[in-house]
Amino acid sequence: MSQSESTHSAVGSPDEATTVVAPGTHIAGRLSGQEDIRVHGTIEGRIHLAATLYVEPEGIIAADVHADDVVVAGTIVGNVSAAGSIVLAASARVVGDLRAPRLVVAPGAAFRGQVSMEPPDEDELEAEAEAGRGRREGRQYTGAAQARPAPPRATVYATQNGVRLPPQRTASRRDAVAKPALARPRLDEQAGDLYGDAEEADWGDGVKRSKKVARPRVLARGKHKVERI
Amino acid sequence: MSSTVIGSSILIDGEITGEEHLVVRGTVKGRIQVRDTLVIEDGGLVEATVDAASITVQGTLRGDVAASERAELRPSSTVVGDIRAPRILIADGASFKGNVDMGG
Repeated sequence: MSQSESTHSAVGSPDEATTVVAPGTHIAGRLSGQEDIRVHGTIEGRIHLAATLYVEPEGIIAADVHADDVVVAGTIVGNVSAAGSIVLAASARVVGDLRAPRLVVAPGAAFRGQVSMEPPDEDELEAEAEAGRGRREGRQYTGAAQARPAPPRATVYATQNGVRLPPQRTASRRDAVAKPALARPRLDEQAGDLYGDAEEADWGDGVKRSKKVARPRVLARGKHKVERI
Repeated sequence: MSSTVIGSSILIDGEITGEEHLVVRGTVKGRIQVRDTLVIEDGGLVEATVDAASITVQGTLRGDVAASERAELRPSSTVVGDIRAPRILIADGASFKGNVDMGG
């Protein structure tokens, strides 16, 4: 399915999706599955989907979302990560962090949050799956608040002291990324002096150099993301 | 169009409330409260406290049921839990364990 097709289908043909949440329906809790979901109503909690999530213009999602693809024409409050693409149509209203290898934002879409275009870490996914498994076992749902433990990722880079940081923070974040990159050559020189021409030193240098080559690419793709320094 | 469908591969752990017709083909745990008809289709599994105007079960339902109009257990259904409804239909072949309260 091409990107433009999925954007179009956000507006038309509701019959493709097998699961539909109608306008007057409200779901609170954890939702997971392997088929497309089309949301005209409200979902609160957590969504884990191995398919496409369509949020229609009147749809509201107050949840952390992980899906293969996400097409938003409605409202999402929460972090969204997609294995494929995230598409924000013109009517989309999104507050939260987006993480997907491909992101399309149409003119007119409103969005506040961070964007990361790196693919999700494998261990992070595993941890998430593990956590989901643990929660699924042995406990029945008792209330909406309990079903929404703050995801670890949100606390890492979206909030501080429970408050979402203002946008200007991104500048200092960029400094934090830039500094080690500038400092690195000096460290390399020291290492070279210490070990002279020994083979080990060469090997160590080679590793560092390969890291150095990789770093600018990472920065260019996910501008605000600090990772593996 | 204005009906909610929970597909067969979907698992919901929580609460569904709504004004519209609700069709469950997947799994729902927790609580369901709808103002219209709830249909649990063949293959659908509901482990929840259910409150609806009318309830039709073809799949499996575990939990207490309250219907303001009627509850119907189709031949393929399995129900474990108490049913409270003014009219209750249990078809031949349906499996049911629990109390029935028809408000009489």
